[in-house]
Amino acid sequence: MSHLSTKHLIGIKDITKSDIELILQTASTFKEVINRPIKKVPTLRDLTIANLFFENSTRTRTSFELAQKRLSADIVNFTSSSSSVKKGETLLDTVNNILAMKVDMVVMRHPSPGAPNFLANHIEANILNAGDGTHEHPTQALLDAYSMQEKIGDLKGKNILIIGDIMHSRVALSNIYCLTKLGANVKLCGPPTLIPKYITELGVTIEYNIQKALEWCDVANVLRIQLERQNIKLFPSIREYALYFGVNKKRLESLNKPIVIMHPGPINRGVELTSDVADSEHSIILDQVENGVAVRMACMYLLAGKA
Amino acid sequence: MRYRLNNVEIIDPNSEWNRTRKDICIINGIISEAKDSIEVDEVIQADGLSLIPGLCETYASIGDPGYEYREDLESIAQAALSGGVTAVCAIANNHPVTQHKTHVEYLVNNTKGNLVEVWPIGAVTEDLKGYNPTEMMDMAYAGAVAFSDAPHSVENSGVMMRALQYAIPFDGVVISSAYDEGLAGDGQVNEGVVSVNMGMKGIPHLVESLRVYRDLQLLEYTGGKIHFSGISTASGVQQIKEAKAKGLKVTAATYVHHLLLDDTQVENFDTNYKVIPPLRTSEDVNALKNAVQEGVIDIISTQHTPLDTEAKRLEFEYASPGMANIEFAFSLALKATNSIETVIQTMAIAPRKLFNKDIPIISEGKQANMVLVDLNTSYQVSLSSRKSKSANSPYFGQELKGKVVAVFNNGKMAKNG
Repeated sequence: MSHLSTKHLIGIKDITKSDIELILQTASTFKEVINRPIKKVPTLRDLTIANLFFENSTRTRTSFELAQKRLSADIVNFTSSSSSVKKGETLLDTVNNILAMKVDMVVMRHPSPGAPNFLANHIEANILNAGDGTHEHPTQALLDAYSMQEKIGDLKGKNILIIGDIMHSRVALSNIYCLTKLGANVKLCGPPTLIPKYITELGVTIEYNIQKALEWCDVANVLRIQLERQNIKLFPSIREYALYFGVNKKRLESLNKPIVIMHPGPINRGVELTSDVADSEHSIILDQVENGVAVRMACMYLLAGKA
Repeated sequence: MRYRLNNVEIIDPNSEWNRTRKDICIINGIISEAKDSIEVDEVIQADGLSLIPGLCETYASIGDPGYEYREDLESIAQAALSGGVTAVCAIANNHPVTQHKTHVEYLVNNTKGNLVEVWPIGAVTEDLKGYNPTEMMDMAYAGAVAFSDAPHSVENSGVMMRALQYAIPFDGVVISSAYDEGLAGDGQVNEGVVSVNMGMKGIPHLVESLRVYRDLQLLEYTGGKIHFSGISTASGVQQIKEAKAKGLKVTAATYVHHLLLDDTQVENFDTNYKVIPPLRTSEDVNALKNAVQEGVIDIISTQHTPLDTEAKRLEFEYASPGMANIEFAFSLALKATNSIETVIQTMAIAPRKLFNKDIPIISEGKQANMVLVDLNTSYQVSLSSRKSKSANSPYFGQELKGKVVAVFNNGKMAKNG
């Protein structure tokens, strides 16, 4: 199979295992491209892509932009820190205005879960979700899976731990769908107030004891504590969180085998992850960033129907 | 006007003509058995059609006064007629809020004697804010049929308790929306695997069961009269069943969409399915259906909530909750219960009993308040022929069975075209 089963990439939930495998495979090719002296291919030179960022983002936006430039696409950037609704224009109006300028693909980040689903029902262009509130962040999950595979091989049967604020994390949800589709075992760890009640129905398990959880896993994907997405107090203090759910060197050294450490960034150093762990040889955090460009190139390439 | 209906089936458990086919006349609004000596202006050949008592919608947001771009007295009447509804109970969320005698009188006086009457529900607290009590007694004597802060629940238990107590002398019904807003927080959909998949905060069943529990405890203490306007969960049903067994003066309604749809409908973020309380699980749907059959749930309502496109064509979390379905009231209730007797009991008889109103009876010498329906014909719900000013219903484009043909009430008649 060399085509995606979908026109949009909104969530990992909606795509098949073969879609995921095709994207990861294609990403390998592009990783080779971006490590060449001339990092650019003309593949998408006939395509115009709009990057619509209704929420702050540095790394994801940069990563998408670089991926687009490496593919020679024309790009326009639209950034608004507040949602379009608060500005008095509806999301649909904003997007239709941009599409009227003949744009082929929309990469959108939006604070509201389901915003890309809403757009997909109303517009023609391909939509690539760059994160919608607490819903999904498909390219992050794909680059995470790619990075894990690169480090430990086939993920089937491997034990992957996701630590932290599961409730407010689109990364967690997309990771869960992606990893379970690829056959990995997924466990979640964090304070119960940060874990949605019915999440085990997605085929994952929960462990509240960080030490036990770390002992179980091959890879620990440590999430950022999303203070900005919490409008009520869900745990008492950063201090207590760091003490009981933070990943530090001492915890890792007590394990009987080394584990791979990942983080989608940006890191709250000293909270969910201490610096000596984040910068250690077992951390693949910067590989994730590099792979992000290759994976996003693969997604846009395949969505554009170039396969 | 004088009408004759030939060969019409009468379905009315309170009538000695129940389940018989007859020729009847309606002369100046009074029903009689047809005789050839009675002169009429119009003869309606009603083979295959049935006559049922006019329905009563117990929960409608009618927009007038204040939000006439969503609905007004004229459009709500037209929409109600299509749904076979001859009495619309209007919740108080107008602008101004229905909280004084004059507000009640505006609605009563402008609709009294019409084909469709509006029966106002007065606010429990000023501006629906949950603090200062309204002049409930004055509103009751002006024609308010009940009291409710809908779409909100009365958050403060003391305020709710005093409302129940205060309404006792005039036999007032206090309506509870049974929704703990603090617990619901910024939840958007039912808490469950669907909310997890949508990445949204869920609204747990507790939001309803805690509030039902509180209000039933208050009722037991005060001895007043309470009605739950929209039970959506199995646990809510169970509590009401127990309260009724205890002999408390409690009645309950459920919204027709909670009988027809479960939470999987919202999974693709279609805002037409966003309602409060949220669509629940299929287990809840089954519990509600059984409760309707057993009479634990007394009333079915459409929770008519008209909203303009701008309130719905938005990202899910910004969209307003609500469906505008009164014009399909009859068809939807029939679809939900699959029993015309249940539709009549829950939408014509029980609501009027609750509000101390005359129950229409299709019988010799009675006032005609009745709906001519075609139980077997299906029709396509089309956006272009909608009667409501708003179109926030997921049923457009779908096929529904059971069509309202004509409505008789207050000496008037209208055909549904």
